Amino acid sequence: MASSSSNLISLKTSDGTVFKVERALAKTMKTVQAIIEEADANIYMIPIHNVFSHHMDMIIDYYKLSVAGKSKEFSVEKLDNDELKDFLLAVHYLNMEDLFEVLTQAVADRLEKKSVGYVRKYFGIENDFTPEEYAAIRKKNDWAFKGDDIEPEEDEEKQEE
Amino acid sequence: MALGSNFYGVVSFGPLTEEIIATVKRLQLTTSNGTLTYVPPLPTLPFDLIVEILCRLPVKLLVQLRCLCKSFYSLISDPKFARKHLCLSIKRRRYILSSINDSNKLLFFDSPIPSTSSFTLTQLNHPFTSENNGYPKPLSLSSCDGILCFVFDDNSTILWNPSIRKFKLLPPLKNPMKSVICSSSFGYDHFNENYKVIAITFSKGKGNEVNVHALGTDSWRTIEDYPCPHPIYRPGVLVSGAVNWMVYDASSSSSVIVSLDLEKESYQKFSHPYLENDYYSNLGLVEGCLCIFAHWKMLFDVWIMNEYGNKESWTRLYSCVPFTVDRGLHLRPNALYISKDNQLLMDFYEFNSNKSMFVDYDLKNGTLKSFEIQNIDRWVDPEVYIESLISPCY
Repeated sequence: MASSSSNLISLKTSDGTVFKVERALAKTMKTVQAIIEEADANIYMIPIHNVFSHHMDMIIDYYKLSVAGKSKEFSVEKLDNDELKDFLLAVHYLNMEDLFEVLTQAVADRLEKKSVGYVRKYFGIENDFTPEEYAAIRKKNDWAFKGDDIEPEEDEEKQEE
Repeated sequence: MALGSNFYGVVSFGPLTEEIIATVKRLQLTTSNGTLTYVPPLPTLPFDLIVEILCRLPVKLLVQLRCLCKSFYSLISDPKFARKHLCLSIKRRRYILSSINDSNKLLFFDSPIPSTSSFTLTQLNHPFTSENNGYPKPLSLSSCDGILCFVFDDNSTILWNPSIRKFKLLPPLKNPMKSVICSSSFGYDHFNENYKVIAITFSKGKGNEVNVHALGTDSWRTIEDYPCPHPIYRPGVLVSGAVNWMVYDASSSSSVIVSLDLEKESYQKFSHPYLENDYYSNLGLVEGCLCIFAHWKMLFDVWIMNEYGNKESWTRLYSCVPFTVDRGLHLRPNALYISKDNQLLMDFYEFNSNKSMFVDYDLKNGTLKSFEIQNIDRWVDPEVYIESLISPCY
């Protein structure tokens, strides 16, 4: 098992920036931890693909808050939908359990009150039902589309171009 | 209609959407100095990531999302996904009560547990009728993981998940003595990863007979030797894989707690903290621990068993006087649930005036919100249940 004499680990992001992070933070990244453990000699620099420096900034923010017991103060409100998805992919790649849960919950919170059409666009889902299959399924579940708390449904048919 | 491919190095299908316009803009920015740099495509999430997000969404939206595509349909209908959703999503609790109206029609009403000051009961659709186009009367109600377990006065047992509108009529009990089902409970057996229904029938000749039905089978079995000779009228409370009832033990002239382990199907008995004999008490669940709600006159005590099965671990959690009521009124409060932020949900029934009220009492600062339940005569004690995707059908 590789042992580093210093308490800092160097991580190099996709855009070439090097971050020196505490060993404890690197430990929360299971992907990085696996690389460290597999290396025979001291590892000087670990490249983290799919992770950009703006992701690392947020990761370090979250780490600092959670060490201070204030992880609830971490917010991704300022990120737009694509930035949030992007960040989620980076954290998923690094295999960071706690932050991953925070981000998936944040995405779920954004989608919670939205319509089906919105979710379809958000995930980029194509409808692969035949018109007959779709009509049958829609009819069976029609009750779920009614109710005060549902956003007005965009016309699904119009989007099938 | 398909857009061109490889024009800007972006392949896309579908009408010109905002996303595509944004991508083109991003590419234009990077090519402004004349060199074409690679810009990563807009993020699409792999399916396993989408699953992690879906399992945190509310049930109603998920039922709608089944219509999106074939893989969503099979994912959301999968019992494994339903369990994942049960574990990972925020518990959305609802309050349900049943009633019989003047024309003898069976009605169900439910409401989300109020987090604000509003409390609106909406009528639920239900599929239950009995023979002769009448309506059966529900005698007992319990719930687990979003499924409600009813016993009707015609001795039929039904499992119903109102959040996904699925129900299952269980096979009838083999009942030569024509004994009545007094109490039914429904719980999850972790070891066998299956749900079980426990129906206790009582007859003068045989006393209590415990019948168990495992979901997916088509019959009932009996478990011998229920350690109490008196009829049990309340459903049991499920804690740590065991169903618990508070029963009267003649030998000690006091009540004890009988527990039935769902996996081993064996009984245990344990005592509870000393309570005044006049106390009316019922079992409940607080933060996964067995608790006793005991009240005498207007004093309300909550005891919690911190370590299940260890009678030394009974601790009095709260002792309060939630409301002052004029003397002479006969009330029966029924504690339903204590939330994480110390809100005690109770409902009570005023015998004299036939009024039902729902009360949200803050155990820390002693404040109280009450809501009268208008025009509904409740038939069985109301129950708190959670929204879930778990289906009672196999």
